[in-house]
Amino acid sequence: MMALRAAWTALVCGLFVALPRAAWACAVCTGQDDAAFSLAMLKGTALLSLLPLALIGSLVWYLRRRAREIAASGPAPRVQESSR
Amino acid sequence: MSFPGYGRFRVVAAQRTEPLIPNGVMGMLIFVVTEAMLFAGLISAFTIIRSSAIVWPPPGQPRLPFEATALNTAALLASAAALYWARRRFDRDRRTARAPLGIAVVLGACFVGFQGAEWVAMLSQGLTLTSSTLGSFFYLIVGFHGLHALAALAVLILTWVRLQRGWLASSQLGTAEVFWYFVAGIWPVLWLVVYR
Repeated sequence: MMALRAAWTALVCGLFVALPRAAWACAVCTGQDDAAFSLAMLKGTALLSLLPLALIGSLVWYLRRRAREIAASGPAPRVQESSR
Repeated sequence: MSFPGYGRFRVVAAQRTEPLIPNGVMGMLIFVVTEAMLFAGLISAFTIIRSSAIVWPPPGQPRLPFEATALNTAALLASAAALYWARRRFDRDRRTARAPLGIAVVLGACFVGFQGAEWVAMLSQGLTLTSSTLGSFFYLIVGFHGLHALAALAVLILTWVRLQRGWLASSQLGTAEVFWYFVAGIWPVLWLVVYR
């Protein structure tokens, strides 16, 4: 009986050693090819990292362009020097 | 006012004759940027969930009507084009902008109406908010966009009414434009990601 239990334990441990990915993975991910998942994570990270930079950069670029247009077309704000 | 070494100065208030952007347009741009990030988060989450699924759509769930929604997408894009046309006419003679702005409102209403009909069809086919991850994401992402479309349509209708009565300022049209262009611009992305 003890020998059977030891053999069973050895078999389970052996399977874990032979299949480390399955042993480490969570129940949801076990047995799947995770290449698509990794790619989706990468795409998501890139999107969420670059999009704010692009949006805020576009806004700043547009404001600068408008400021230059206004500066070119009209008088600039001035500081008047007093003679007193 | 005196500063050591700089003599005396009288600082007069700077007089800016024209703001960089009207306040309404600036506020709407900030709102649109934040909403774009929200949609980006939803798209990212949907893409990750979909890539980790063994079968898509999940068993027992209907396939989303990609081809039928293409017509609806075209209507929304045409609505944005009509709004652009209305702006061009508004800058020359604002009375002539009524027709294109009206077309934009009608096409926008068609989009919202078709989306509502599509939801009813999807519900009758068993796709609900709790039936699967597809249902959850579909109603969350598309529903959120629909909410924006409804709000933007209300703004467009208000803009059209103001134009009819002769009260519409250029900045008000600009504010409505930013909102509607956002709704129309983000939809093709959602359509390609969620429906395909």
